Amino acid sequence: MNSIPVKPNVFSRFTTLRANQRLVSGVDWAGKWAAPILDILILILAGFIAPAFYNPENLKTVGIQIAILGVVAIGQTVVLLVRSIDLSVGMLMALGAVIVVQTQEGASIPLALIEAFLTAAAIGLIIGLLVTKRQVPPFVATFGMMVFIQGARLAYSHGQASGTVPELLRAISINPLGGFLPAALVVWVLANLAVLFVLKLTPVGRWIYAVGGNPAAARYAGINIDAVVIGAHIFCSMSALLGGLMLSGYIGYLDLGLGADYNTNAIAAVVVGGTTFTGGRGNLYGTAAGVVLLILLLNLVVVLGLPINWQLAMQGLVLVAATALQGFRQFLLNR
Amino acid sequence: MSILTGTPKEYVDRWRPVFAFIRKNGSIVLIYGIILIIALWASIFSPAFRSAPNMVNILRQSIIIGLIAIGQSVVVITGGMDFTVAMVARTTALTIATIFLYSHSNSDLIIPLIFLGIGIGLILGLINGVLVTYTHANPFVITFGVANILRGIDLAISQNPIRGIPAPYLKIYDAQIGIVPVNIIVMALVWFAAWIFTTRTRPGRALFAVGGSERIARLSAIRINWTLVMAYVFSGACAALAGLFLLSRNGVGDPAAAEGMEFQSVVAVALGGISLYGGKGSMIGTLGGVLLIAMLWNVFNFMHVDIYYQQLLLGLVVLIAVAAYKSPRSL
Amino acid sequence: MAEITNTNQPSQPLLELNNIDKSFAGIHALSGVSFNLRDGEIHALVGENGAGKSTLIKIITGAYTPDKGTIDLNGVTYNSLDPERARRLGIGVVYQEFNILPELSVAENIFLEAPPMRRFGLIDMKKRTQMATQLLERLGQGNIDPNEQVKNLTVGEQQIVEITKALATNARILILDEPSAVLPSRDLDRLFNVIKTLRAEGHGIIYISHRLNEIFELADRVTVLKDGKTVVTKDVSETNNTELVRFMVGRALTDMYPPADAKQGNVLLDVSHLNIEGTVFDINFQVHEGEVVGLAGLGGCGRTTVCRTLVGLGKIRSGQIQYLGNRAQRSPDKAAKAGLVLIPEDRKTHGLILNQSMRFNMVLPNLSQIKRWGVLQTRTENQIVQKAISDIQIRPSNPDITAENLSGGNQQKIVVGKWLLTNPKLVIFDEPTRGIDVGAKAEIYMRIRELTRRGIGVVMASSELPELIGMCDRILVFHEGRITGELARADFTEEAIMILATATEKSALPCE
Repeated sequence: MNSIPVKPNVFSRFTTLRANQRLVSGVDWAGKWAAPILDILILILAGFIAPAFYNPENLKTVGIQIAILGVVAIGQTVVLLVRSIDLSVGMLMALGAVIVVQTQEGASIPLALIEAFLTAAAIGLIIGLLVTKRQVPPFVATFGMMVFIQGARLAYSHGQASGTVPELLRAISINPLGGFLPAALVVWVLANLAVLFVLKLTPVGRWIYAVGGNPAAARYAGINIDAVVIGAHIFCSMSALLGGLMLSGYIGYLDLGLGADYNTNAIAAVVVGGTTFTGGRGNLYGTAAGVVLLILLLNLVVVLGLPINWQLAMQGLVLVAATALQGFRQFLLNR
Repeated sequence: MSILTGTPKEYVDRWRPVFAFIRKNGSIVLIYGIILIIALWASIFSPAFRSAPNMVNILRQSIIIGLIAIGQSVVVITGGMDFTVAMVARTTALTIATIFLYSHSNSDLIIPLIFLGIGIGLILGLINGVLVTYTHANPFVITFGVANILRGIDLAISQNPIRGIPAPYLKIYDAQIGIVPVNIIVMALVWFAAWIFTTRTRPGRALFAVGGSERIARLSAIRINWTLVMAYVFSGACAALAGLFLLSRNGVGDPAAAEGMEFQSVVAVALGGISLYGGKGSMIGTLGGVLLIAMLWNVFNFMHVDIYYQQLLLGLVVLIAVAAYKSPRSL
Repeated sequence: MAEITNTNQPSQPLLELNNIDKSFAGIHALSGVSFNLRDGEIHALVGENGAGKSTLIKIITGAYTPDKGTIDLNGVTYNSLDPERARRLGIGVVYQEFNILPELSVAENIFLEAPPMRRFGLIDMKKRTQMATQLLERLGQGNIDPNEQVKNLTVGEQQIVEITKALATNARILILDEPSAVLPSRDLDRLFNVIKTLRAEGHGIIYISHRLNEIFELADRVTVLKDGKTVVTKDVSETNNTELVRFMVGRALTDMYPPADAKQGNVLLDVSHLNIEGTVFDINFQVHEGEVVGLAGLGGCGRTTVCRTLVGLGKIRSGQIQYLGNRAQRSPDKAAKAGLVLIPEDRKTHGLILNQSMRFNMVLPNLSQIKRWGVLQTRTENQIVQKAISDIQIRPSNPDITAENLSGGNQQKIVVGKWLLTNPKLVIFDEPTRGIDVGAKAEIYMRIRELTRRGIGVVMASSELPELIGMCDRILVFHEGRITGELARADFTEEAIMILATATEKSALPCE
């Protein structure tokens, strides 16, 4: 009746791209080392075009920001490793801060903290259940959760940012230990070490990489996939909460816009650092490098006196570039 | 009376076509059913709700989000999602507003600028589409990132509302032909075009094939990349159109315009039964989702629901909607 | 879409393959294969797993390019085809995995590629339904509603839609790859009628099946492939079941199989009246210490389902599995702790985390062995990994090499190694040597013998008859989800196995 001609079009170029070995290794290498190399380059560059960067006050700020984003990014890394993602981290940071600061009026701090952590764990649990038992795509589940948390936070705080930030929160963020090192950095490093330890040297860590790398094989090896994914989400929510507490400790007051950018930034940092969306590939070193990269870029924008919208655009740009690179890398690796 | 009599078998037989219809279009029946139930219940509680102006108001409220949701549906059918829609609307509104400002509110420019606005949407959609197809990267994250970039660009355009829109333009949003508002006509046209496109044209059906199974789409000589790009371009155009209406409604170029609308559009799409995995769904369903959301906000206001709880309730609705549509696909 | 009248017979064949050679990485999948198909003919293609049938089909449909040889279609000679061209030249194929979109309607799926159009680029939906109805009626299937969503049809009806789809693209040659394997018995008649109608219209049909009696019912000629070569092409009327079986198998046994010398001990595994998932019925067998029990059978007969279920990965409908006197565990890790492990059929998707190292993979089910107070001990890890590598002779022996960079043989050894590290008492091998080189095969066979010497029981499911005959003490033959027979070592011949594997009576299958 009719023939089906195949017109070469501008897109067929890319679908027939042959993955020669050089290209694959090159892109793979770039995917892993982009962040650290760029970090070093930018640090050097900053010395030339923005020496104010190396001002001790600025370095302290950069350090704290790295620590806060870093803590959130640790959780996001774990979740990405099991082929999931969490878009609600930013909102959760804000919610946590609200709970601790506002409950604290008249109640005890430890109680408020417990309440906040339980809430975070519950949220992580719900997300995990949605993703595993109802097979909701993680983007959608966490995105829906983000909307819900936003509403919860408004309801809880009645639109008012009130309350003072407890001393404890300041202690874990701004307070200088040994006179110069912000506590936040210590918290971050400790968290990193703890999670690195778990990932490398405990069964749970192996399960995470197995579930993310090949869920079917993990199942055949007897690993409980659902439990691992749910656990990852609970952990991510709790690390987001910790980041939120550190952030409000740093700012010193409760801000309703708290944590807004942390979604994009956490994901961008993790992805730039070499963790892929397809699971089972990536590590905390890369994430740390990615966090540093992002904060350096954002800080440079400020130090150079550029308007704030540059920051936003920069965040988006890093995310898009990192995602495009990793997507391409994964595509080539799977061919 | 006769429809209720007869032996059980005759009864079932007579109603068989209806059962088949329900079975085939389950989600659509569900959502319009819910709309009907809520409407009836609200009418009982509050006579003001029942009034014609209020009904028209509900329809009016749904224009902007409705346009955006139509574009979003198309993208979701292909298995992706477009998180840039709100920012595209905002960028379009701001750009057009700026041009108006610098041209001293020249009302001759209205028509050309409308076309330019849509053009902006087309280009931004093209960027999305090309990024997603060329790099084989995750559409959720790519559009999320592009949205952030746009957010930055928007702040660069202006941090304050842009005035200087010519008066005739401001009238567009409220214009009516007879008793029917113009914007409802526009939305109906766009919706109708989208419906015809997705049910009766080959490229439109290709969307379902691509969303259902890329492998099968490829075997059927469907040009996957082209189809995907087209979906994002369309979504961009719809968002731009929504932005133009927003500009007319707000009267100024608002740098905070359309905030949160990408969320709402996804909610509308999900409520409307379009599977978030792609490959299935219908424009009629999306329309239902949009109407339901508009109606819910309306009902909340009438029932004097505490404004701080409205968002929470919306979030709850989202979560339930998302949990309800379980897909057979497993990890 | 005119009907083709059956005029020229037997003159120029519809399709002719001359002397086709095809190799993959040095292994000959096809050598010197010749095959022809006439119009108005049903030509059956038989052979055991791995004989080259699917490679042949892929060459006809253009998915593969032959290394040597030509393809003649309607008198025109081609060196190779590609999928586009094959489709345009009228070659249609229906695989076991259907290529239809469940959410769309029957008519839409049939005409997915090229629907009838109206003006303005709109699809003519009425005409499409009409044309679909016509096609379906032509096949005698007018009762399938063209507007029904495909997901609401039965498997048999979906298959008809697949066939109709091929017709819609004007296929004159239709290849059916084991179509009866997915159907319950009551739908077989419908399928056969459709195929016979197509033959009457002049189409050429290549029919692949393991069920020999179907071939005698349907086909005009039959071609037997063995080890990548055409053994014979005969008119169906001039041969019989037994002769076909003899053509399909019958080769000299090599002696790469270490001799059996283990004593057999107590019962390890006792399966009684096992019914699984509606596809496997009434399985009964036992496995003793030191024994190798083979599971034979052709594609889709239920072997793999049984293997998976033994470690807890299948849905048991009724029946019992007793392991060491207790009820068997229902999850792979618990089964492994009790000493019952499975080396799965598909090592890449089920056996290995490809992007991780050999070390990671080997240690994954054995974490409790290297764990102390919750922490994994690197030194212990290294020890057991090294031991496993040298036991099974994995070369290269660097444990940090990524699994995906290793050869098939080494990958299989990793899977075997990792499960053997759990100190099992019963090991189930599903296709232990599929796709691996001769040297690695021999090493795996030696390992299996060692296991039996230590009193470990082995179940070996395999499509390779020589392997079964060489290694097993007993062989259970499966067909369509049931055990059709058991052979003792004295009776091991390839023919005996194949007869049990292909014997079929339609009435033996229960309805769904």
